[in-house]
Amino acid sequence: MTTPALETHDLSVSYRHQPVLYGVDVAVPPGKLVGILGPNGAGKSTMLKAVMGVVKPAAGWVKIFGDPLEKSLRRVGYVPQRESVDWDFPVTVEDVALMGTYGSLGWFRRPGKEQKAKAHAALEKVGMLPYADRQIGELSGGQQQRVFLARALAQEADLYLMDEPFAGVDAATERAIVELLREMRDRGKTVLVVHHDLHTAERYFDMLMLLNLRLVAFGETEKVFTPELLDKTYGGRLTLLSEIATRAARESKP
Amino acid sequence: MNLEWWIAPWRSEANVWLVVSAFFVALACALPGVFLILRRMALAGDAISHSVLPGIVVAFLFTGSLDSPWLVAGAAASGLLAMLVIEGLHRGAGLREDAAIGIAFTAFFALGVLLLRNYAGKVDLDPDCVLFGSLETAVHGEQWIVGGYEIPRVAASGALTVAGVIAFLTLGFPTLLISSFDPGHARTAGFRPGLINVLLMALVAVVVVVAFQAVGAILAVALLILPGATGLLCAKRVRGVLAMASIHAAFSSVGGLYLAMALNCNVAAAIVLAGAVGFVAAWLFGPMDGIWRWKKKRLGKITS
Amino acid sequence: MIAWIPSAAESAFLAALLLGLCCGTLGAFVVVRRMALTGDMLSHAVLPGIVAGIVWNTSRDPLLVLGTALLAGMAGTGVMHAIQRTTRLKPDAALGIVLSVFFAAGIALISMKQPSGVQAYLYGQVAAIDPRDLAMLGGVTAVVIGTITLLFRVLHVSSFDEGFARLLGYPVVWIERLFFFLLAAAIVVAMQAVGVVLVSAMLIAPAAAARRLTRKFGLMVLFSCLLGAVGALTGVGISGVKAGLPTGPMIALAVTGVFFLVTLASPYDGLIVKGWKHRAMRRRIERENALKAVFHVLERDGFRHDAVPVFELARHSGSTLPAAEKRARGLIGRGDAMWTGGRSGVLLTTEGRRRAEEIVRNHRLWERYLTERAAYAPDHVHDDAERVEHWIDEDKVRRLEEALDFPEKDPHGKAIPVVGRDGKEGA
Repeated sequence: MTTPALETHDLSVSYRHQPVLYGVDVAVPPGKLVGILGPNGAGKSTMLKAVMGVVKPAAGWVKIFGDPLEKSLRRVGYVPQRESVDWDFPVTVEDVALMGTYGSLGWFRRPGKEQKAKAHAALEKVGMLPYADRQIGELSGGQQQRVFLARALAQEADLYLMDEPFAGVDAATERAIVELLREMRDRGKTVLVVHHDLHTAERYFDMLMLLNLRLVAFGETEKVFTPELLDKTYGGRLTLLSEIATRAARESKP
Repeated sequence: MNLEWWIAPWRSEANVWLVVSAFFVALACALPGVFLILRRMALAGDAISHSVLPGIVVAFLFTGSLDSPWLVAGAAASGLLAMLVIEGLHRGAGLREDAAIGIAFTAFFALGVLLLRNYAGKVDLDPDCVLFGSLETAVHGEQWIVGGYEIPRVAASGALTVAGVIAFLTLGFPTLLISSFDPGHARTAGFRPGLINVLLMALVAVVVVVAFQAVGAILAVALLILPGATGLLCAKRVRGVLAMASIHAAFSSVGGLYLAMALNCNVAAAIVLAGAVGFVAAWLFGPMDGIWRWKKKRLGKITS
Repeated sequence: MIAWIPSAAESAFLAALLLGLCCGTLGAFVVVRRMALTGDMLSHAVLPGIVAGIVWNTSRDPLLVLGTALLAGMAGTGVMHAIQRTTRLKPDAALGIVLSVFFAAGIALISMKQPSGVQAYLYGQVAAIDPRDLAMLGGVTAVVIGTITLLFRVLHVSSFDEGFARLLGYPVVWIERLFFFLLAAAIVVAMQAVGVVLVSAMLIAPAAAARRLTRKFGLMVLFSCLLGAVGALTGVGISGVKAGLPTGPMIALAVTGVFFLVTLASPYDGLIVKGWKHRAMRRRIERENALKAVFHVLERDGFRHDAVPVFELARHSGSTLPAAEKRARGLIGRGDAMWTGGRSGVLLTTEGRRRAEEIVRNHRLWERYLTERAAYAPDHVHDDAERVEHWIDEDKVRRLEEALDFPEKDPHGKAIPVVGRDGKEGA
């Protein structure tokens, strides 16, 4: 059996003693386009952040291509939610794409011709090369999304994590991005996308991960996109689970 | 204020050193300050400049001289201790971060003032230097002999600090950039945003010690923030912001001299006020957010 | 009015008392409204106003100084908001700019005009406070406490939930302005006691301490007021005893000290209490795990015997004999079990048996819940149940049983004990 691109075991993450993710076990095979669905506050963004090591799990572990986080983090490319970016930051489109190449540089080297070429190629792929010199605050929603996608591409990662990339984006950009994601998948990349829209979810993704505090289901889209599973996902929290887990978390840590 | 008024000050060697020293100090603060602003940690700079005081005073009491390198060590120790206290209050006692910072830095500052006022009589230290700085006296103070010339120690140590700051920033520029812009992404690229933070804070503590001798603890905050803020309103990229901040530091130093002469006031305050003038100019006319530009845009909309 | 001229010492203590009451009370709102940094900015921004007031009016009428200070404070706040509105600078930078630039203006004015009496504002000189300033301090304190008492409900609601306050028809904007004036006035008078930088301590520390003592806001305000007074008086007291210690920093350190004391010793959530509770919890969990181990051995033998040999206990849990003996001793000591066979085995008491059944029941119910309702795989639920079993109280047990329709077995086929039946468990 091939090594999963992403594997988690008993992954639990709490925010201020409230469990946000609880005991998630999942193994994502490589080369798939996966959609992550769930209601608000269900832990979808947290899932991505835990995979990247930005939040520390209260329990459980994460493995990327069979290796623990620290070893394989470079193979992970991240496209953040638009609202979490500081658009006033004095960087241009080119600067952001270039930052994607920093992982291969180490702490003290500067980006050179090779890195610039990679950044430009990535920008070209998403159609943002003409805007290379613009400060990122001057872009439209769709353009901003594409710049961060270019950053991930420049990184030449193998696993891509994207947090609601289609929120507030025009239809043309959305189509273009989906095209690009499919092309990446065809080249063997694994892409995890936190998605907010049920209609398009069925069309866009090979596999779906349904999250609501815990993993409700994970598998091929046709098998998972069923009324009962969707109902379990969106149909309200398991209050007992939430209450008891919260109490255990809060009381057992001083 | 004819031409003579503008030229006369430069004939005095002391004045030249004053401006040069002020420039070095201002530059040393301006550059790390840019990153403080980008990381939304302007007030951490404020907190550090208050928390290092007890360390500086203790070191001074032991060595008896404001010029000793032990002052930096004392400041660093004090600053580190303050950071630990803040972490302890925040994580351990569950206090909100801004409350933890507020309690810690006022306590440390109070301790520093206490030590200063209590022992200042016994050693030759004017307690007002905390608030007013002592640049004018420092320029006439200890001199170093460098290559046959006499240079005020405050200018030489300022120059050394600037050199150190520039080296640090040059070496770590990509690191600082990526961790300031997107710490999460920095992690995936293999950087350690937490460690970088600590190093930046340490650098700030060092420049604050130098600034303390020039402009006092409270005005050091101005030297940290004003240049970067001005630069941010003028430049599109971080390099531009750093360049603009450096120009601002020079402008403040020179302008400070003239302002101090015109108003007959304390030089440290004059430097900050000159800096404020620079800031206001950027606020009104700056290419990035200048109000003038904003008004032009509005007018443009009406006519188009 | 009483024509009483207090002595220097009496002035100092009175000033400290008033200062503590005033800032403590106001501080509770400052902390809750998250205005600590605004307070810091104000205390620096008012300096040029104070100096201008002193210089302009040689008779040093305190009310005039208060007025010019307020104007400076308003100007500073206005500039700060303007910066945030019209530029890309973030609030922290705007605050820092206003704070330091206004302060510099104040310092410049001081060096230009050399006014007398400004020392008091910079460093705090509660020991040398003159009667007029004392009177103003008293006046401001009275106004602050009076206003807060009168408008308590209004201030309370608007501090916690502005939207709701608007809904109730409260003039939220005017309340904010009123609060701002009270804060600025309090800061100006507090500066005379503790100096410009340390005013923050007076506003934050007593309130932060009060917060650790209670969750009820009204009580918090009261405690904050009292702790402020206690801290200030202590500070003055100490600096009075040891002559030469400046009062300003001493007061600031004293209120911070009060905060640390409360953090350690608060019966509500002080560190000492927390540490003690934590140890008690650890002991409870150990006890329950030991009981569980005994129960498992009993169950494995089909409940044919009542006593469990200690070496069986060791073997079952994979521990050494001395460790198992220690565990057994613990159970005996707590009255959960008795020695049998000359200290070679343990027999659970009714109490111990009951608790053991409860824990095992909790564990298995939870496993059932996770597999049945939360779609967990059966081989992934054990670890979680090990953690959670100690935290399910009777009420939650009822709800779990109902939600699962009173199950009899756990996902691995083991029977879920019914607590209290006399050891005759069904298989």
